[in-house]
Amino acid sequence: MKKGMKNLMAGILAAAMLTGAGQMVMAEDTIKVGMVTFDSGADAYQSAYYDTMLSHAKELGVEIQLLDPAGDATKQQNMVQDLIGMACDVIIIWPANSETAIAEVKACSEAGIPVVAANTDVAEEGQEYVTCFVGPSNRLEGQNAGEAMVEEIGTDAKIVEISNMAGYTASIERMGGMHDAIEDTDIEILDSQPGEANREKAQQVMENYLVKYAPGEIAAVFCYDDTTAYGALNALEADGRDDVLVFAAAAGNYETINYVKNGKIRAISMQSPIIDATTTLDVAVNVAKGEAPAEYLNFIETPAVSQSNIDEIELEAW
Amino acid sequence: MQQSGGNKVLGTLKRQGIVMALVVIYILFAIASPQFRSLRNVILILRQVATIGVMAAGMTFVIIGGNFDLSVGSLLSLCSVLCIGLHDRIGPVPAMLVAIIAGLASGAVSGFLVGYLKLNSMIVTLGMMNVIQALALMVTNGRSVYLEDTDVWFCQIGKGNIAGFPISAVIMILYIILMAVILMKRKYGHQILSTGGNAEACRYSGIDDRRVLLKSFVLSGLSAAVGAILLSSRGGSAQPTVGQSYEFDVITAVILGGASLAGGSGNIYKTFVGVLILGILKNGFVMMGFPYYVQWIAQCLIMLVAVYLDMMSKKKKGAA
Amino acid sequence: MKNNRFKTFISNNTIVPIMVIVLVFAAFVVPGFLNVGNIFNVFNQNAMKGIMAIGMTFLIINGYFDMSLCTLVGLTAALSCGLQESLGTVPAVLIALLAGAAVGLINGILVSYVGINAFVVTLAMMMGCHGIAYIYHKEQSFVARSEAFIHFGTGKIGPFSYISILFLLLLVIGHFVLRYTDYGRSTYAIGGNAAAAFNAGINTKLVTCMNFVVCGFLSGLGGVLYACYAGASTPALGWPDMHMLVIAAVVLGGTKLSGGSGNVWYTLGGIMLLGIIDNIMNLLNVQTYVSTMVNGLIMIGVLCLDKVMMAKQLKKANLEG
Repeated sequence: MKKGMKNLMAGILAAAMLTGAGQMVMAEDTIKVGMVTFDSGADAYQSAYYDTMLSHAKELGVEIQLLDPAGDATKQQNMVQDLIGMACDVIIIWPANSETAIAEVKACSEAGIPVVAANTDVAEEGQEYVTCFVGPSNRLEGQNAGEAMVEEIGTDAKIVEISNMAGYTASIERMGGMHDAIEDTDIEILDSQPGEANREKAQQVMENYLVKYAPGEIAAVFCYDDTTAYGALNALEADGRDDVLVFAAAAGNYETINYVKNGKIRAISMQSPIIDATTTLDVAVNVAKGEAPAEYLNFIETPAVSQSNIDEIELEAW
Repeated sequence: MQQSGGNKVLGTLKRQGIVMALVVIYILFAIASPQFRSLRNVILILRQVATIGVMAAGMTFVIIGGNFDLSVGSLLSLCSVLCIGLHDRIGPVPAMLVAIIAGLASGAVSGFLVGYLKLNSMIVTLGMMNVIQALALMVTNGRSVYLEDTDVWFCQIGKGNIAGFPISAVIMILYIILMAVILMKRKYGHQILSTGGNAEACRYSGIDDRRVLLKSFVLSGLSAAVGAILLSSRGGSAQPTVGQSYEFDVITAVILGGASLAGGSGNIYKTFVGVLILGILKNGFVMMGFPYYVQWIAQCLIMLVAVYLDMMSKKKKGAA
Repeated sequence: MKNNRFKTFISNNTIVPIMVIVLVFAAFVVPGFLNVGNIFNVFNQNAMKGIMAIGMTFLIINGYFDMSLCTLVGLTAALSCGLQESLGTVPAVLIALLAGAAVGLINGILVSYVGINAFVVTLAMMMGCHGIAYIYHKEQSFVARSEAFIHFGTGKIGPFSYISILFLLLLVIGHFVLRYTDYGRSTYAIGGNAAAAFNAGINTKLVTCMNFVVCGFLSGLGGVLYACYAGASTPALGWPDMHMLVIAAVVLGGTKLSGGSGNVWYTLGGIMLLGIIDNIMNLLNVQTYVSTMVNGLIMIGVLCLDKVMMAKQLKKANLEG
């Protein structure tokens, strides 16, 4: 029994010591930022965002408590409560779900802590409790990339799309933006299936599409993030088909940039997690100091990027 | 009494409820969608089920032993990132070896905890799933890994064809035959079937049930590693969460194949039938243009009906 | 002799020493843990899972488990929110609870009377509920309109939230039913040895079916409460592994998955253990994957510890006997 207990204790102690990520600067006047993310392990964008948050906090000299609910909306709510208990000066929330976030921001407001919504906005009913929003405009992103697509394939074509996880707010907004872009055209979306932001699953969906639609039947496939685009691309290359063009909203990974440069992905709307995180933290620190931005919506740039203008855009690889 | 050839075939089909279900489902989709029944699609389905096919073969041993292995999804992720991440640094063959060793090691740990310490397999492998997923994320720092150049021979495993047939499907079929031979013809197969049925009786007849159960997990781990090689070589890349929720598809396939969850019976070929059913459903629904939520409901109904039919056919066999 | 009884108690109820170790560790190593607000926070946060775990406890003692919980919560949360405007809050909640019980009934009938394997049935129902929840949600989330609904989810009496008071109430009721009623005794009997229970005249099929209904109902209740807590429902609620966490909590508390033993207090311990560990990870600002790794190690570690304690006790019993 002693051995078992010892092992258990050792295990827990070891885990505690592995917490290299915690910022334990105990200076009284340091601004304490609390943040709850969405799902840092899910994709490269979110990992980069997470890492940037930590490194930028170090640069600014603020203390940051960064919690990750792994995509679970109720866990996120619990974490927000924990952050309130830790007496943060400002809390940044990247809502796992815009509607369930309403209760979270209400709780912060009742506790007197200002809230910044990051990357995905809180639902309308909750916005009165939020100081401001910083992040990409998902709708605009979808629209930018959508418009780039219309320019390339014309106004009378058939396309397919591969969505992200079903019920994922950011993805839904991007889709809305893309659909807006094609609304006045005769472009028809023949099929829409979720690829779950998983490269392999997206590849399988695309492969199924390619069997279903003979060459020439569809002009393009629209994806809603990097990983989905790679999956689609892989399927196209494996099949040797080049009649279907790939477009993506909310992309911009190092790999993606290469693909845009050589034309394999025709156009994307670029979203950089580094800019996203840095801007958000800057604004949050200002809010904590009492200097909230004038506007509620503070969008980061998400320009449409294609082979033609890629050399003009400043890129930071992530 | 000498049954005529046709009657014999019919009789066999009747007894194999799940195979009937496969045939019926295939025919339904084939009638409904011309693209579905194209040769190209058949080949595509075989390629798509390669990974699950291999993993389900290994999982069959675990389930015959009366246990579950929920860690195979995360193990798929870990082995995939190891394969791809190390490919450019130490070469394809060493990278694959590392992945296989990781699979064997993980299987051995789970097998030890369940076989020797007699811990509950569901909770233990749930714990292992968490640990392995954490390892996969740590090793890659949350980023995907990918090969510099996807024209290497390693990628031919996943992408290439032999005489029009996908290499990954060939490997899957060979692996399944290997597993089936182990189960049906080798001593180990006999041991796991007896142990799953009645562990105590086995001990009295001299079988070391602990070793037998441990080996079943090692086989499952190995299968996850092989599956990882097939999967990652398709795209030449690996996301650290690529294997998430694979374990349920794998276990579903084994159950559809008629393996008893109480342990003691199972058949690798029938498991493969289960794998095919799942693959056909996923592919067929996209061909038919059904929205994804209809797929879930259909999967629910089909699972219940298929298992019920199989149960009924077994009962009949028993009564006769 | 008092010493022996203490030792036996510890070995029989391993959740207790484990909790003590964790609490002591947290008190010393984790800043911010040992304040009253935080501890009640943890309790209140886990009350919903706790309620669902009570239902699961009944079922596991009976010898089965229910995976459909994973998506059933999404469905009942959706019904309780979405129907509020058209039917009013109370009917909406009642319909949601009824849906939970109905799913439980389907599970129970298919497992108990038709004889299909419980894993298959509950897995299939999980997919079915997932599909229905998404169809109903149409990819959107529902916001709860009723003030009373939201207030129930977030309101408190003293340090206890309404939900945690409900949890405590259900714990007491659950304990009473399991310990002092025929139904409870039958549940244990069937879990211990179904054939013997049948021979003893217990209507095993009915009791098993009822336990599935209980589990389904309480899972449905959990979903409704999540909706109260969050003030909204999302189609992804509970996905992908809520059911595993609930089952793990019950088993880690000490109820055996093979059935025939255990009680709701063990489950309370298991729920609190997992909740406290989550809380510790948050307070220590640990990176996600360290947290995931620790969760995994704890699950394995607790089972090992439990096994080791049992083995010691068995050895002792053999020596003394």
